[in-house]
Amino acid sequence: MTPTAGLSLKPQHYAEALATPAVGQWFEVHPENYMCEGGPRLAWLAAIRERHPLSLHGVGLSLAASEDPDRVHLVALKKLADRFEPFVISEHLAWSQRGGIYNPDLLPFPRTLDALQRIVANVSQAQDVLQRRILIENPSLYLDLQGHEMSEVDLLSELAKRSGCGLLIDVNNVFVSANNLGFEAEAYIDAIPAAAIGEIHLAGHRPDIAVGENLLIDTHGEAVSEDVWTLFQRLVTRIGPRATLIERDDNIPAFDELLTERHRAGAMLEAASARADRELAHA
Amino acid sequence: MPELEAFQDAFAAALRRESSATDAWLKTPDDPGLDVYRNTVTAGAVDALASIFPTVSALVGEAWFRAAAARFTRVTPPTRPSMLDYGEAFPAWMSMFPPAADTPYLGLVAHIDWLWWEAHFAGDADLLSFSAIATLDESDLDRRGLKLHPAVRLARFDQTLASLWLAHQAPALSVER
Repeated sequence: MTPTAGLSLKPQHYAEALATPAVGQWFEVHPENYMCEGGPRLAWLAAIRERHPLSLHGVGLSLAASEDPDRVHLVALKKLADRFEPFVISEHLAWSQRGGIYNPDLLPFPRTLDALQRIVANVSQAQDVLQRRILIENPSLYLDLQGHEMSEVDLLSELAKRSGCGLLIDVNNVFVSANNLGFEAEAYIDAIPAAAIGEIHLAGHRPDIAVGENLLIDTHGEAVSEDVWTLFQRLVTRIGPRATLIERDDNIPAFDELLTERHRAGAMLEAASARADRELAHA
Repeated sequence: MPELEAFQDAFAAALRRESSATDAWLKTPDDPGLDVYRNTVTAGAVDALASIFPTVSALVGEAWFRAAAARFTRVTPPTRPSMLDYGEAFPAWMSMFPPAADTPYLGLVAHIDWLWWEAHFAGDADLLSFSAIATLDESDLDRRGLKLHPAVRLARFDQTLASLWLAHQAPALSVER
């Protein structure tokens, strides 16, 4: 079956998400928001999960860090995964925890060999506890650091090879990072190893209030931009269809508005699938 | 010290504007990108507090609330990636917050918000019905005992405080409330 498009699940849309008849509709949540004992939030998720596939997209494992992943957090994630049986679990190429403090953001780091080794070890630990492969997402970057020993594509490819993890490619993050740091988004999109990619994210961005267009912020608070749709088309034309999320976390619009974006992504996945079938027939 | 660890320490200090050790890794000094991370970290913690304490925010206004919450996050930053447990110390902090000295009830309102939040995420359990209790005689009750539902929270406060809290419960405050 062709991979389909899904939506971020927000409390504002619980009732509509439960009722939506859209074929192939799946939902994605941040597991951190469901790490509780009980109550209505978990009950809604359970009801929606009965009708739709679910993806758990973590923000808190802090895998690009010199410390081991937080054990309590990993166990809580495993508990949610056991209960809700997500079709995919993903995390980020970033860190957030250091010295007992949690910084609620996806923080950058110099891509050194030392960092790569730590991240491979941390991803492997997470996969051991979860007893499954996870996907790792490319971050949106705002700082031009020095001291990198490899490109982000090389690091992600090597990470996938050594840890066995897959990749989640956020096309908006590629666009935002390329704009902010001055690299070519198309070249990045063309270089990611196709076999490792298990999911795609599409989201919106806006210019930084102080700096302007030279510094784009990955807000998840706007509609997907045309530039990002073009890059998405380029990616699925090369690699074929993958489960694709319309990611919205802020400035949440009406559910129908998100369904429209989801429909557009879904049609592009169908087309990419048909193209892949034709190429296979001609091979 | 391995480089990743050294970088994280320097960056964490830069987020709090405590040191410029991150400069060694920056191509441009005072890169405005650093502020993006600072703003996101603060906004993430403040958003979490805004979800937990909507009644306080309704009483003082969003701008005042967010400014106060940002100060709280500097003294008591989140420690865990699931921020559902963040903010337990906020009511006591608010009670001692000098700019709130004229409104001593704010800390108490925050306390009720906190209890509501805890109850909201507490474990699920079936309720004992009156008809089920009616089938128990005294010795049954002694033997089995009765337990409070996991979502029960007890607090003692002035009656006007309850009215104040109730008067500021608007459905628009929180989609889950």
